[in-house]
Amino acid sequence: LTGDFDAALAAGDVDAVVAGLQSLGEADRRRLAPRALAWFTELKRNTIAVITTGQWPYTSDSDTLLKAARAMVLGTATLAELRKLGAWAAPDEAIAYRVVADRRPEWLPEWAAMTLENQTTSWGTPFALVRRLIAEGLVPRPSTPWYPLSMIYGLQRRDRDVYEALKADPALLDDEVWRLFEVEGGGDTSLAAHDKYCGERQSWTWALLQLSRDGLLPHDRLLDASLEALRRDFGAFRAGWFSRFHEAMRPSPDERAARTDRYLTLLHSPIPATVSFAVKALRRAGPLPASAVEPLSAALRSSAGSVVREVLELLLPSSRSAQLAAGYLPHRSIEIQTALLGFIEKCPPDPAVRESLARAGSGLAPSLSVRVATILGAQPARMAATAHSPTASLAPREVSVSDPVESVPDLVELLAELLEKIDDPHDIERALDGVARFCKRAPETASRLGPIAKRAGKLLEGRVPSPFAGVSVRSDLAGLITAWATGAVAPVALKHRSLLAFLSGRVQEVAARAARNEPGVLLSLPTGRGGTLAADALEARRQQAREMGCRPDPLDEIQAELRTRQSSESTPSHRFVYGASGEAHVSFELRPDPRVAREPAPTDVPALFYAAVEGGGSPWARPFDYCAAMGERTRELSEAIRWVATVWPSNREPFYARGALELGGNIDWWQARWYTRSFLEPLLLPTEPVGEMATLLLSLGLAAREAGERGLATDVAIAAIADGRLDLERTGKIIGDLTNSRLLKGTRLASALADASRMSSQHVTSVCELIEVVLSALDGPPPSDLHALLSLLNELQASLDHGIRRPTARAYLVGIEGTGKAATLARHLLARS
Amino acid sequence: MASTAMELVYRYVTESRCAIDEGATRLSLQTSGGIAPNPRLFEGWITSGRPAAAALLLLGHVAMTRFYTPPAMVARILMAADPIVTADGENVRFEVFSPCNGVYARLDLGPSSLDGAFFAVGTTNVDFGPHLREVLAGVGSADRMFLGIGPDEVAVTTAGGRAIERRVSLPLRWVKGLAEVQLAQSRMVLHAQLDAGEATQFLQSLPADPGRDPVYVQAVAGGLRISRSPGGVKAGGLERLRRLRDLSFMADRLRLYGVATGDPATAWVLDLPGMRLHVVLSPERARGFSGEGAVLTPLASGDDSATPLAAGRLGYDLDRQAFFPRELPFARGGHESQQPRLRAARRLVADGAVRFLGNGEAVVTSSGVEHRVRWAKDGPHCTCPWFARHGAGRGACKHVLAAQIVRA
Repeated sequence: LTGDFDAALAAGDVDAVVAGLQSLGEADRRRLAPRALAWFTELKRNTIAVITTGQWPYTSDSDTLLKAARAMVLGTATLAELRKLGAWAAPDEAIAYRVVADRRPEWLPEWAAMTLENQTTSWGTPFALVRRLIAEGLVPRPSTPWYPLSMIYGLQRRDRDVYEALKADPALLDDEVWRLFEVEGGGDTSLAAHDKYCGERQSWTWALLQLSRDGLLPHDRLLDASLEALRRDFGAFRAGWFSRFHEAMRPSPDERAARTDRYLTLLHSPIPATVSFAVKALRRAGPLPASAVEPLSAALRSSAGSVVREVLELLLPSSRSAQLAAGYLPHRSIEIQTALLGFIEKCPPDPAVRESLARAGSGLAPSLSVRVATILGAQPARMAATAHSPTASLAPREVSVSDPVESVPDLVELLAELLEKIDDPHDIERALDGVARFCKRAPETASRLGPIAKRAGKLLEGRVPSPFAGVSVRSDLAGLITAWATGAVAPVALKHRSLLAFLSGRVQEVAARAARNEPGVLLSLPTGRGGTLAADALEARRQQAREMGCRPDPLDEIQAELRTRQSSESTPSHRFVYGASGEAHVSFELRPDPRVAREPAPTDVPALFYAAVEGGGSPWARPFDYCAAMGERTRELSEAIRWVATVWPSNREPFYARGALELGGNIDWWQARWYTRSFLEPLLLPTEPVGEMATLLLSLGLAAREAGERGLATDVAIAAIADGRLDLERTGKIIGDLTNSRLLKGTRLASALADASRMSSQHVTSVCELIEVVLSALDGPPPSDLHALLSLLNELQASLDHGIRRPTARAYLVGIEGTGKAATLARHLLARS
Repeated sequence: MASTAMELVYRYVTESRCAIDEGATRLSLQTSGGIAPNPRLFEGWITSGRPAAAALLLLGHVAMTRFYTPPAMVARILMAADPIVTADGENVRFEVFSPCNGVYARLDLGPSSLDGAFFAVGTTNVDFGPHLREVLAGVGSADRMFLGIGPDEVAVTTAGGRAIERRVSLPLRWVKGLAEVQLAQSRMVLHAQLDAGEATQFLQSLPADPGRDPVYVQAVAGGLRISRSPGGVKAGGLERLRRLRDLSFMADRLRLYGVATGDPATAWVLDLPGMRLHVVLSPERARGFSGEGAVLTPLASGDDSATPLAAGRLGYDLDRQAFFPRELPFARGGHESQQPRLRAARRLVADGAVRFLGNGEAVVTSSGVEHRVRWAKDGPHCTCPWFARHGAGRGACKHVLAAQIVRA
């Protein structure tokens, strides 16, 4: 018996396998199962292996062999064994039918359910097979949700759309079609996903509408079923199909009126689109009963202004509706707050409304305080929504640096940590300093280095590039540890010319010292955060080096000199030219002026900084990047950028220019450059000057799309305002110019500035002034989203109780004509002035 | 290798039901396990129906949601565990834990919101199916709600043979996470308190995608703001709180709790009329509570108080700043065997891999390397990559645990 099957399986003769199985009882089949399973497992393993090895040890191809093996497995295995093998063991539908129709195991219904679940995808489903088994009475209708879900993609064929398929099998219209309204699906298996990617005539929407028109599906039941589906906990994308389908059914006003209660229930849906759908449906349903007030008010929580306005139009003014509306007043949107308050003002006065208004106090917009005070009968001053402290209570910012490491155990733990993550570039300097001082290789030290030497070796074996090549800080540190532990410095395969290569060179110097077993002194260890080095500390180290008889390393000397430089000693060799151009697609450009025309020497650090900003057209520009692997490893890039920021602390303007180039070129986040925000970090230092390039970077950051970039830029603005470092004139002018060129989005900018203004009254005043400077710098027709900035200005000035102070800003506002949001707000602002 | 999941069998007399009739909602929750096969714990009115319904809906959402799906995972939703309910004769507490182990939520109904009778004290599972959520979504603001926990005579009689049995494969990390989240709360302190308007403004301002790095929540005029630079309470995955927005308009107060130092798990307590909703977020969206390892050191040192916590017999009430007893309604034994790090540490000890030096340091030989464990001012340190990556933030590494076991 086994021999016959072995021959059939080896030949891939599926017909022989199926025919051979037909005469067997369950006991015989079970005896054959171990051999069948072993053969199938072997085939599966080799089918996967051939991809990498290219070796196929059989004469027949894998498809042929697998077909026969799968039939054999299905004909002999238990349900548990089949479940374990999963979709891999599923034969073609025709073969599967022949095998199971003949075998008829008692677990056939469970197998059908399992097959539906395992094999339902947008590429193919076993629906036809299961449908055939049902039709022939071999299995009952499966209760699994995968049965109707498998129908979504399981009906249509190249020559037959869903509509025709449903007409061809009218029994489906009695049960299966209605179950589609009860199951959600997921991934690409849902009505929403199906209809999104097919032509109209192939869609389920079209098919069901057509069947309804043909009288084959009851119109009323389809309307009800779609509303029932919306009440279920489906995800927003999949729920959307049911609301669209409901509207595509074009219910009459009477049909809508009959379903008012159902629409009202949907107002509690967590899906905003469903709430919006229900509100629109209720507007078309005609007059609503008085009892609808309560459920209607639930939609007032919507963050969409249009939905709230529609609900307010449906609500009849009354004390109860005003009370309910007042409960939703602390909305984040001022537009919605204004609409709600307008409605409340139309309603009869009521103590409960006043109580709700008072409760909402802290969440109300300052511009509404007078109107709210009128309702409450209180003084407007008492309604001031923003009770700012005069100055910011910023979290204390770190200005000092950690002490040098004091022992080998501390140093080993620090190095171990740096191999995994580098949160602070100063820790790299502490590690270099520690290795320079403690690099004597005593037996105890060698034993202690064991774990980190193993870890470093593993990192260097893997994907991390070779050390000291100017590519990866962590591979440099791994090379340093290896040199200390083994006494040998890894050769540098390819040395890139870049700022990171300069830093790599510094690590290599310390590694060479460790390999030589020659302790010394690191001159350049910073004494201040941001990389600064006190001159007296440097002198003391030089003295110590002389006493030890050791000669400082050359790159360490360069670095120490740069870190002790005062800002007055740094004369910039280049300025920067920048701006945005383009109409449909606005692009940001920045370059040094004069252009960097020649290749800087690898040790000419200031020149390397300017060269890193040099852009297109310079074939050699890329190697001068901060990191030769720019754009490849986000985390390591952030670490590299943070370390590079400490190289020339007295003049970080070219560093910020490079940051502005990165951020401005990706302001709409078309590429995930997570490292870019690292350019903003030094600006949080309270002593950091905010020059032109820093201001440019900050301005771009305030309007960045990515929440992290914009949030950090906001933090910088808050800190710079509190420290008195932000030049509002310069910032406003830059923002205005970039807004004129359509690079900056007003809504994002307004959101960041609103956030900054919450810190203190000093920030409120500064942001007001800044926006006025921006308005003064604008020319031409107002940007489409100017209303966001004007709305913020309106609220801030309302809280300060003053108007526009700058004549140039007033002149710009006067020039805004029309009835749009910006024009209305401009008139408000001018009226307050 | 130890099993990574346990099979949980829910056997309900019948399915839970919810109906709205003439302004009153009747919620009959069926129970399974705990002090009896189908215990009857409470029956009575909840005075504020709408907030209770909305909060229960949120719990249902948390119980079913994977807030994080690992990129390599096939998009298959795991079967979620049913909510746990505890009645202590005074309060009724509903607890859920997300399948991704990153979000824990609890609704406490206190005496001021309950008007009814307690039939027993204990903890059980309750059936909370999708049909229930449909009806709860329609509970109006003026409605009261009648709550029954456990089968009454009518249900038992009418259910006949329609008992419901459902099997859930519950990952052990889910159970471990449920214990860890209680310990995390016990280390938290109150950082900020917002009034109704401020709470609404803050919850509505939460971005759908706040970026991938942890943020800092700072108290400012008019509420809280999200900062990207150090200062305030460090928090991760705040977008998971967005579901609270619908409840914010009903809230009286929002409180933020966080740990004083260490990794940024946060707890958010929303005070609703007569009830409180606690939501605890793990430090990052992609990081569940199960690996936090806070129970490891007490378990390794034989601390008796750690055993009931690791077994899930204690919950933590942030409002009262105290643990409360609750026996999880599913069997769980061998707490140590479910902690892989502790198992590995015990193996190291058994293999004689730990020796102490004269200076008090321990040398732990593992995978051919001698790791050094030393006791610094801020606790034990190790030279292994685990400690280098996480410090003490996710519990002790196996080398530290082994040294602690030998030292004890």
